This record gives sequence, C-alpha cells and structure tokens, in this order.
Amino acid sequence: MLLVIVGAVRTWRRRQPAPPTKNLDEAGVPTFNVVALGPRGAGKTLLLASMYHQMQTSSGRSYFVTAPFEQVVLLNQWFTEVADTSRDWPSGTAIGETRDFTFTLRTRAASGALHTVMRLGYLEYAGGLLTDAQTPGSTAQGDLLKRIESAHALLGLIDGFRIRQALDGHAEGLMRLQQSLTAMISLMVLASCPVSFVITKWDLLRDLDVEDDARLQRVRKFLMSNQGFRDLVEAHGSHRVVRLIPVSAVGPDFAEVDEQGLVAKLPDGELRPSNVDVPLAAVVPDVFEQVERSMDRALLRAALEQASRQSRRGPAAALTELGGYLATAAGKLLAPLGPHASFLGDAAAELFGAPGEAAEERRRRIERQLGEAERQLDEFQLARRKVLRDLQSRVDVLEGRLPSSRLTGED
Amino acid sequence: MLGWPFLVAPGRRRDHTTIVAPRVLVEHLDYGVLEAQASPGPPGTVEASSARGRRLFIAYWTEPVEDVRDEHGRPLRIIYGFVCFDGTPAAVDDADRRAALGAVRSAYRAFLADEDRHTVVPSAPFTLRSPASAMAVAQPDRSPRSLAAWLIGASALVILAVVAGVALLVVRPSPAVDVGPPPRSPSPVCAAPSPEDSPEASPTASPSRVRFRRSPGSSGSPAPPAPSRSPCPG
Repeated sequence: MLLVIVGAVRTWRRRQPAPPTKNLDEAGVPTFNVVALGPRGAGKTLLLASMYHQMQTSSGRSYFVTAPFEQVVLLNQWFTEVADTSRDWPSGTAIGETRDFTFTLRTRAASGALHTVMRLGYLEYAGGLLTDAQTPGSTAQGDLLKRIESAHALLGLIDGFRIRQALDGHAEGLMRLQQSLTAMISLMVLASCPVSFVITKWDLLRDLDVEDDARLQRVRKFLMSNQGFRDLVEAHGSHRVVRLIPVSAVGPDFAEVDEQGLVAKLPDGELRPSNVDVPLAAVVPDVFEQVERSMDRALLRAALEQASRQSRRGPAAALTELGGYLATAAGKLLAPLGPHASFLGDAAAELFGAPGEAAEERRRRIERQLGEAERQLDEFQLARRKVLRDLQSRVDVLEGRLPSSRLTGED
Repeated sequence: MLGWPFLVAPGRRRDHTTIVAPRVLVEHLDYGVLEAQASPGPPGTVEASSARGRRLFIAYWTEPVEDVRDEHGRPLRIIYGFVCFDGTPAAVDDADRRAALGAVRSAYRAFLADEDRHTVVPSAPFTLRSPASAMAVAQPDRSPRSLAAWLIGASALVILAVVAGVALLVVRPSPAVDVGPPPRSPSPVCAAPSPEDSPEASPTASPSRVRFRRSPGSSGSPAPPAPSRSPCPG
C-alpha cells in the first residue's frame, strides 16, 4: 500500500505545474501598514477619502496613488457626499464596514514607463472599537489590536472639534477629548513604530490665531497639559519620531459650528483640503529616521561605506546588501520587510542623514558616499529614489512651515 | 420557521452597538456576529457562524432615522432584520421585514433616551412568512449510528494522512513545508428556540414614537441566501 501511495504522490508531483514566476518589479514592492487610531467622529473616513482625492494625481509630485477599482468607487462616493453642500455628512462607519484599503504609490520614469514603488495599507474601521467595551462574541476589537501591533506607523487622530469645544470651556468636549487621548495613548505607549498625531478639522480652529504655526503652538501647549500625552511625547520624543500634523479634509471655507453646536456645511462652501497627504507621505521617512536613530552610527556608516566600495559588483547588489543588513539590524520595525532588501537599501541611501543635516547636505553626502554606484542605478531605482526624496521633502516642508509639528517633549 | 428580530444601530453619542438580539445569543453572550455581518447598505442575507459555533442565517435592512443626528451632525441609520437558526428561507417576505422592524422600534427609542444605561434587549421569535428553502441549514445528526460512522471515517482519514506524510518524506525529504489553513471546527449545533422566551422585543410590541423614513432601496426583499454575504437589490 505504501508503494502505491508513494507512486501516486510521485505522479502527482510530476503533473503539478511549475510555480508561477513572480513579476520582479511587483515582487520587490513592500507594503507599509498604517493604522489610524481615532474615536467615533474624529474624521478617519473623511481623511481617507480626502487623502486619496489629493494623491490620486501627481500635482507637482513625482508620484501618485492608485487603489483597486471598487475602493476608488467607494472613496469617490464618500468624497462626493462630503463635497455636496446640499447633502448631509456621511453617516459613521459601522463595525460591519471594516475594510482594508491599499494605496499603490506609482511613478513615471524618464522613459515614460510606470513603476510601482510601494504600497500603503490603511485600515478603515468603526471608531467605537477603540473606546467602547467589546460586544460579547465579537472578535473585531481583538483583530484591531493585532493590526495596531503589526503596524509600521500609527496615526492618532485628535478631533479638532473636541479641541474647539474644550478651549471654549465645554465640559463634555473636554471629557471626550481626554477619553480619546487616553484610549490612543495606552496603545501607542506599547508601539515601537513612529507615531503621528493628526489634528483633524483644523479649519474649526482657524480663529485661534491668524498665523498657522502660532495656532499649532497653542494647541500643542494645550495637548501637552494632558498628562498622558505629555508622558508619551517625553518618553518617545527623544528616540522616535512623534509628529503633530494639522489637517483639514475640507479646508477653511467649507464648514462651521452652527448655533446648535454641530458642524454644518456652508451653503456656498468651497472644498480646499489642506495637509491631508502629509500623514501618509511621512510614513516611510519616519520609519527610516527611527531606524537610523536606533542604530549604532559607526556601524551604519560602515555599512554605507561598504555599499559604496562594492559598487564594482554592481550598485543594485550593493544597495540590496545594505538593505539586507538593515532588515536584520533594525529589528522589529524593518524585519518583516526583509524580502524587499533592494527597496530598503535605496531608502536608506536616500533618507539617512546626520542630525541637523539639511536635506540638500544629506543628499550631497549620500551621493558622494555612493559615488559611482549612484550613477549606475537602473531607471527603476532612480525613479524610486526620486519618490523617496519627494516624500522626505514633503516632511521637510511641513517642518519648515510649522516647526511646532515636531514633538520633542521640551515644552 | 422562526425569525428572531435584531437591531444594530448607533446613538447620538455611542457608536454602532447591538440593541436587540435573539434571546439565545444574548443568554450565551454570543451576539457579536450580528455587528460583524450585518453592514449598512442594500438589503442582504448572509449565512454565518457565531463565535460559539452556532450556524445562523441573517436577513438585514438599513433605514435612516428621521430627525436625529449624532453629536457630529451626521445622520443615523439602523441595521435591523431577523435571524433564523432552524433553516434558510428561499426568499424573504416583506411582511417579515416589517415584523422585525416593529419588534425593535421601542428598544431603539429606549436606547436613544438613555444611551449610557443601555443593555441588550433579548428578542423573542416570530413565525416567518418567508418560505423555507429545500436547502435548510443542516442540523448535525447526532444519533449513535452516525457518530460511529463519523468516528470510523475520521480514523481512516487520520491513518491515510499519516501514510501520505511518510510517503511525502520518502519521495522528497525537503525542509520546506506548506502550511495549510487551520482545521475547521466540527459542525456546529444549531440552537433551538426556547418556548418560554419572554417577549421583551417581539413583533407585537407597542408602536414606537421613533419615526423611520424608508430609504429608496429598503423595501425590497433580500434574495435567497448565498454562501457568503450577498447584497440584494431593493
């Protein structure tokens, strides 16, 4: 009987088709998973829809994002519902509507060829999962916690409407704000990835100050008066990237708080989203900044120099080796991206820099270090490097315009 | 066939939560499946398993709530319908939808009046007008004979798997092993309704003062169930 089975298995194996060859371009594309933490009504869905709307075309950037068609339809539907001033705001997200959105970052190289650079996964879920007790027999909360644990970046959405209410002396608003901060911070304290606090509905805070950074400074001071928030920033600000990004999914001239205290659309409201692309643009630069901070500088410099010396073996091989080294040395944050060593090598070469080093200086230094290797990179790698540079540049512009957006615990 | 009304809905301050659920699920703290499976949108039906392994059929509809907004100024919508444990309807009669809606109205009104003190209201079953499908949800046969047959079959499969495993090792002693999906749990047992169910949320409950506006696509009957979620045209 054993012989019969062995024979059958052999025959079956022979008849199996060869495993499909993976598209090399697609195989080298890593996915960075982002989870936006935020209570009910914080604006997670609107931010997602507005973010996609803003990033679906290049608009002066070297990249744009695409999504599966059925997701594009949904995102456009939400955005249209928001933009139409004769309609209500979209209803809140139900637990049964939890979905994974996948944004693919693409770029067009000098030859006109389209290349996929990376993917960004974004989880859309009901905010009550963060603040309410789990329903018996439900696994939704447990699933969300697992996703938070494995995320490459966390966005903590702070509802600008609640800040508005709290600053206006509204007790309920202050209580809700504190409740949401407590829920988010308890999860962020355990995370080892970069964290960005995103202040949504920034347009509702426009009368705090005419100047954008002064307004942000005031809100930052207010948030730092919350013990949990301050503790998190102090604990992580020195070795991790912690940002405070003001965004508005609709812009300054679209909605206002009405006499009933509800956010209402203006009849002639004009949609002009602001900063909605920054939270996603910051993900990869922040991951690499954190990796750089966590690693021994001498070892890192040695790895970069070795990549430079190995240019005779081919620049791609040298950078892949550098990426492989990073995936091993950087621990949990990059380990799952080990199979994408080529991407990691490119990103390290583009994004690593000395503390206080300006973007331009950093670029010159890295290019000098890599020397000939840089010039021999193929078109795809050059296009990818340009996208990474653009992502870093978006973050640099934000920090230049709003210095208060970097939280360091020195307040 | 019996239908058990349920309601999942948000309040002015609280997020979507289960407000009414079949009594048997409430008693066994096993109603999380309703929130996960019944999603807003077009009417739909779905066959699912609860966390404790109960097989159930869910027919659900979404209705906007008139004149009520949440604290962020957004309109509210409720997801309601009925659950069957003893079969799968071939088609869903609109009278059953109306009965389910009537059964949950007062509970929703009470929830809106005091969201913080809300506890899940257990629902009592009502007799469905929807015709049963020939392909009813299978009740596991637990007679001694079938159990013995099952045990013999399972033993044979285990032996076969061991032999095949040895054969695979002999043929190609490769270190790479394909990890398949985890084994499925044994066939769940369907719960039978209790005759003594109390009618806290029953189709005969008094009319509600909470008004509901019919959405354009809400009056239709969901199509017969598909193996997975199947949104149905109104």
